Amino acid sequence: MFQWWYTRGWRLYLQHFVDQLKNAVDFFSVGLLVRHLFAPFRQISAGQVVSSDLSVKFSAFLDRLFSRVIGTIVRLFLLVIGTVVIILRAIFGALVAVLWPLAPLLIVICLFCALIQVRF
Amino acid sequence: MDTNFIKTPAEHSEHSASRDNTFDYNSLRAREARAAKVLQLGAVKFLLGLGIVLSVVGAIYLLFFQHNPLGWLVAALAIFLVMIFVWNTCEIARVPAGSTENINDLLSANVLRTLDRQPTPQSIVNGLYQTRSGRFLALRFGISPERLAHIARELNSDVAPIFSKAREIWRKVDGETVSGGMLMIALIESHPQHEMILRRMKLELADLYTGITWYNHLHGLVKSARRHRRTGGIARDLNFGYIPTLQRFGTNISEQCASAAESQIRLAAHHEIVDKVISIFSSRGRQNVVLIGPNGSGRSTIVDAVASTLMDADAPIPSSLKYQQVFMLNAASLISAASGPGAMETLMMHILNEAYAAKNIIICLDNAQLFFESGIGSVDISNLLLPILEAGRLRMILIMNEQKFLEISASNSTLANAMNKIKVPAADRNETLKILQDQAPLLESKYGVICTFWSLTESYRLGERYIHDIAMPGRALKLLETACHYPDQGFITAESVQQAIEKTQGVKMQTGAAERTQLLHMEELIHQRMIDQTAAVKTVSDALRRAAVGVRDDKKPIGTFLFLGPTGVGKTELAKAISEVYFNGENHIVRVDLNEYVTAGDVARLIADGAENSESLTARVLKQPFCVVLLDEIEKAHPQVLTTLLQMLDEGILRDINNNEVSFRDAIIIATSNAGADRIREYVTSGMDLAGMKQEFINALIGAGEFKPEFLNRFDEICFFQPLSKSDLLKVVDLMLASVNKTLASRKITVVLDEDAKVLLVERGYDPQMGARPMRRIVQQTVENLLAKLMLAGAVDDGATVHVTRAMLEDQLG
Repeated sequence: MFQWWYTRGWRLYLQHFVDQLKNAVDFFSVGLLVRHLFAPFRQISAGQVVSSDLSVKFSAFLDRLFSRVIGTIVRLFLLVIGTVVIILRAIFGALVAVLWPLAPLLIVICLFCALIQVRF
Repeated sequence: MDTNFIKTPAEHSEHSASRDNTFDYNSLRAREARAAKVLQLGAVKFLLGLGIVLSVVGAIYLLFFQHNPLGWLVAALAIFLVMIFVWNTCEIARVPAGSTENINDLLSANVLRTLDRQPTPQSIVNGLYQTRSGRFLALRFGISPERLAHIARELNSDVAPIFSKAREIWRKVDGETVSGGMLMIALIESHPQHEMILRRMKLELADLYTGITWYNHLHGLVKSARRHRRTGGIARDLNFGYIPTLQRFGTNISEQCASAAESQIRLAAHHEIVDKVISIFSSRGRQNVVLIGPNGSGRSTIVDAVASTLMDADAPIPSSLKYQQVFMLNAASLISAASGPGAMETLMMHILNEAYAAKNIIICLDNAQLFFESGIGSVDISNLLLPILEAGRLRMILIMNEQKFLEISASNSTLANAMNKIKVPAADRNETLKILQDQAPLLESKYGVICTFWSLTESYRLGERYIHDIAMPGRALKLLETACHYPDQGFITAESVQQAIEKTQGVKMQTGAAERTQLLHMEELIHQRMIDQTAAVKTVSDALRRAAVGVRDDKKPIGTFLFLGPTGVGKTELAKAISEVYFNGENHIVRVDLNEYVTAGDVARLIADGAENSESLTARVLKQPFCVVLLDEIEKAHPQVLTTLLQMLDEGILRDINNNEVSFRDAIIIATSNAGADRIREYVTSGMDLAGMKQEFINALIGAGEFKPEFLNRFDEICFFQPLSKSDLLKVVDLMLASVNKTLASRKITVVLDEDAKVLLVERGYDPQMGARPMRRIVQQTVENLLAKLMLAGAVDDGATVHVTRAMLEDQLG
């Protein structure tokens, strides 16, 4: 059993951990959010305006800018939540990965502590 | 020097092989597999979980609230139990293959946990039915435990050859481990007479190997369904526009594909088409694809595969295509929503604008021809779609069949040129079987049945033969689904498929004991209703017996016969008799009087579309494929009509006016003709043997220009019908009298004719030119009229027997 604990088991856990992180990154659409951070929100006012009238063009520019601002806020909000969850998940996963090889040692430590406390 | 210790290379290899095939009960994998068997029991899992919770709570309580050193011991116990839990869930739940080809490294955990310390073929058999792949193979291929146990009893007790065979199979099917199914095949294959055993089960070894591949494929699907699919996440669509109208009138295929597991098999041909579609969409050219193929060839499946690929975050596709969503538009709902003139164009424009503005939409038009033609249920918006297809700003997938595409090409070549055509061919046998294997579990869960291997192969065979409105694999799949309504003790067998064909197509598939007797005594049965023509009856009966037991070419009609002879000698009567005896009813006859098809223009009427002319030959056979096709007076048909019929006689196929195939492969084709009747009469009068003069007679017919040789050669048999003699006509009178008595049977009245009365009827009814035809009229004028008068006068009561004398008939005739 211990032979497995230090070889295949640990490797399997690390693979699982990396998969979980990838799934979390996908779930929060981190790549898409970063790539399109400043894109208009749901393509609202995103179309090209064909007009020689400068006021119309300016108005369209302002509309698009507003849409971009809204889009950025929404994306940033999701990005922050996603990042926090992913970091927490990564910390927990890394902790388990570190504790994994120590698990048999922890049993020995517990037994040692019990022995010392009984003696003193 | 003692050479006993030195091994030759052959001995060394033998020793090594024997070691590779020796099962080690105490190997690490075997122990893990057995441990898993115990630890994965529900009760053990529960106790383990409970132990962890209690020990963790206990440790916390003792250490932090009681400061008791015993808490450390409980904590150690908790850690140990957690390690066992992790070991159970992560490690032994899946024992992978070892690194060598030793059988201990290859056997799957499911097999390992069932093997004894000293396995024998018998003990292996007991274990095989506990493995999933073993049960799968047993159920799909009808390998019962008793049958396998019987095979095992006849094998040597040494299991090394079985393991060796299993390894060979593992190599052939490229398996992960040696599964129970592989071991089952190895066990069967180890039997010296395995080929005979399999033949009795209507199987070959290759079929069993297919079973392994089938199981592995399904196992892979289950695994992939469990795996998390990455499809872009919660913010995927933030970048793309709103599409309320499109959502109202279209179906989001991508959404369906993203939520469902990857359940459909990708054929090599389909894979290529998907790649081609993606390549077209990622290029700078026209962003449209038209999938051209027959219905049922899997065009919609390809669209599903494209949608699924685009939604897959891990798929190697250009980023511009990632998360593009395929929307299928429904022509019917669009047309019903657009009421006034021009409303359809406005609605479509609105939808297409929405799709363009959203930036992530691929529009799919199923039955795209409905958008390019005017008529009921269709609307022509080609003027609207053409600029979009040409400009390539909106991605589109169009689905239509070859014929419709040709029609559109003919009417609007610019539109056809604006499309990127991809042909979708019908699947071949292997591909169809793979798809059936893939879809069988869905049908099984839907109908609560188990599809056997034979049900799949029979679905392909019979689908290919009897279903012509859609292409493979659709036709086999449709048939298999219909067969699910006819299970045999929960199993869908070849007989279930045959039953499905019988019920849906009106085709007779199974020959029961009664039918077999009928076929064996066909001549007697036919002669019960027609006189003489023994040679013709025998020829036809022999051909039909051959057909019934399968000794015939499946690619041709059951039989094709040309009946030659004068009028009134029983040609049509024999056709009717065959219909009654072979198809159990005179109504299974499709009669076409070819004297109504005397111009070249009549060909169109003969093969007209059933929707336009339900009385055309093709329409009637399409509705009733299992029948006698009686082509009366064939010599009067226009040569163009006869040329059209050549393919029917040759290949059992006739194409209707829309180029759709209509099968005549379950029909008996009988053509009748009076051509050369005078010559036949001359031969018979001069006492010549008709059978001996057959070739000379045929040559004379060809020489006289009555028939072309290529037409006559297409018939299986040409049967001559002799003119009836007076003694034959006496028997005909008996038959007609029997028919009269049959009509009176409900009143139990029997008519009996004196011999001299019969002779009178023959004398008055005999006409050398018309054969027995005038006899019916004479019997009607005399016997039936007399009987009617007697009954009206009250001279005949129910249950009476009427004796008719010659004098009575003479009175009637006046």
